[in-house]
Amino acid sequence: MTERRDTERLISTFLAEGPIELADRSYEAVRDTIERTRQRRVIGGWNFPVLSTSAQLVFVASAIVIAFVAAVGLVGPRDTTGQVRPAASPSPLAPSPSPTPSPSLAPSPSPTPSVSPSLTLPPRPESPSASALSLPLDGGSLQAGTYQLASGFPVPLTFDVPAGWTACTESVVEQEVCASADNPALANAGVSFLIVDNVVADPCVNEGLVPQIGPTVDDLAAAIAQLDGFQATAPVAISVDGHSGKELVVEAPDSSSCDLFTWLTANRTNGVGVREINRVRIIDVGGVRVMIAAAWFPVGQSHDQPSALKAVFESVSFPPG
Amino acid sequence: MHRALVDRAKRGDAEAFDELARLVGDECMAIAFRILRDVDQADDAVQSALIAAWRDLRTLRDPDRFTAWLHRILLNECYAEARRRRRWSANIRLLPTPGNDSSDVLTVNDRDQLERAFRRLTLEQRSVLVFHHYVGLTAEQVADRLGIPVGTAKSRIHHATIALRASLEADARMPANSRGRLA
Repeated sequence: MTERRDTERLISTFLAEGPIELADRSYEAVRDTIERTRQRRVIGGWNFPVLSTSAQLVFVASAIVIAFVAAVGLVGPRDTTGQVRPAASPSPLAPSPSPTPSPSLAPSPSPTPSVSPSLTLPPRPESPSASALSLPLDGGSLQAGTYQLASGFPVPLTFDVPAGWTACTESVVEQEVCASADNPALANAGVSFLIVDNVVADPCVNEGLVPQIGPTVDDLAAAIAQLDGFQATAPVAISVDGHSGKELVVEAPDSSSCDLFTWLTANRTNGVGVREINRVRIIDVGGVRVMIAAAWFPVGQSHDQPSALKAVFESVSFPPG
Repeated sequence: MHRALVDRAKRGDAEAFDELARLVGDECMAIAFRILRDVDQADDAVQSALIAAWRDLRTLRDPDRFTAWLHRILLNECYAEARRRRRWSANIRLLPTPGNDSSDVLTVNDRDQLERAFRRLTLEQRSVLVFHHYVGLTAEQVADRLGIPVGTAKSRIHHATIALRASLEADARMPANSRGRLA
């Protein structure tokens, strides 16, 4: 009869035998695959698909209509006689008036956009939309430069990206650039450009408010500011390139026993990590409500927005309103 | 331990993930093989686990939990691999691997009996034994690693050991020419 202790000794000895290495060809196969495989986007949240395929088709059709309407609006609004006025040329050199969010969370009271001296941002071109690089939808490393969002986003905008950042877009209506991994202060930081339709009723539950929030900038800003369990600054009025909007800073709680859902785009619910901070600008551009969110995590006791992230966030420019 | 690499990999740095994979891949292979008892299946499970880890890395909130998180993924891939490839596996006779610091040397007969007996265990039973006896985790750590209650982990270790002993005893009583296929 085999005794218990003998059995355990036999098991341990038996399990000590056998292969202990993964073959080189297997590592190479993994390497080849990951270079062709996009990571699931999580900055500012996890993937929570909310639409069926048919609903997504409806969304795509809607996006096309919105894009068309926006394009008509940008080409030139009609005057009282019904004639189309020529559109003003984009002027991204115009400084963006800075918001004045609460000093307890908002780190950027400076009146003009500031760029960290440690960054090597290229000079703004005269006509960024003409020479701007297009942000790839399928992710990947980015060279330093001025970018425009991938085709399909209903509002044209440009922004500057320093070297080392990556594209980490979730969808056409949730495009994003992620910060370089080389800087610990920028761990999990990024700037996203979204068309947000709703916010969650309860951050612990992946369900939007019913009825859905209203269509205005104020509706969305107020709803985000009221996310249960989050700290938020009062939304303040801003103007970016002549387009009015609101800015606020929202910070997730220090701990949570549930996933923290936040806002919904047409194809997923966004979520955030504990302690994640988002500086949010919501801007009305020709009747389209655009949200820009810079996400980062506090480093030690500092909740300040990292300067490199701030530079990207504040470089966002629209065609003049 | 691999926090810096994990952080870089979370940012989409494939180079960092490749380095990370090479740090943890061998242990994953060792664990997967000991659960699945098949080199090809273990290899496939590890590759799938590493690719899944890369794809979902941004869902990992605490980089210090990377190894535990990866082992959970690996276990799921082992189970999936076993489901995908329910094929009969040859009863491979494994020779001691050079470098294994095993003070006990199994006889050929012991090894054959253990191989047969181990293959009769469920994957869940094999998993707790591998994490307990091979990885060296306590029952509490096994529970954490596998995402099961501590009581369940203790119970599985106990019952797996009992089942293995019973299987060994039954095997020892059977005539050698009546031992059937094991998968």
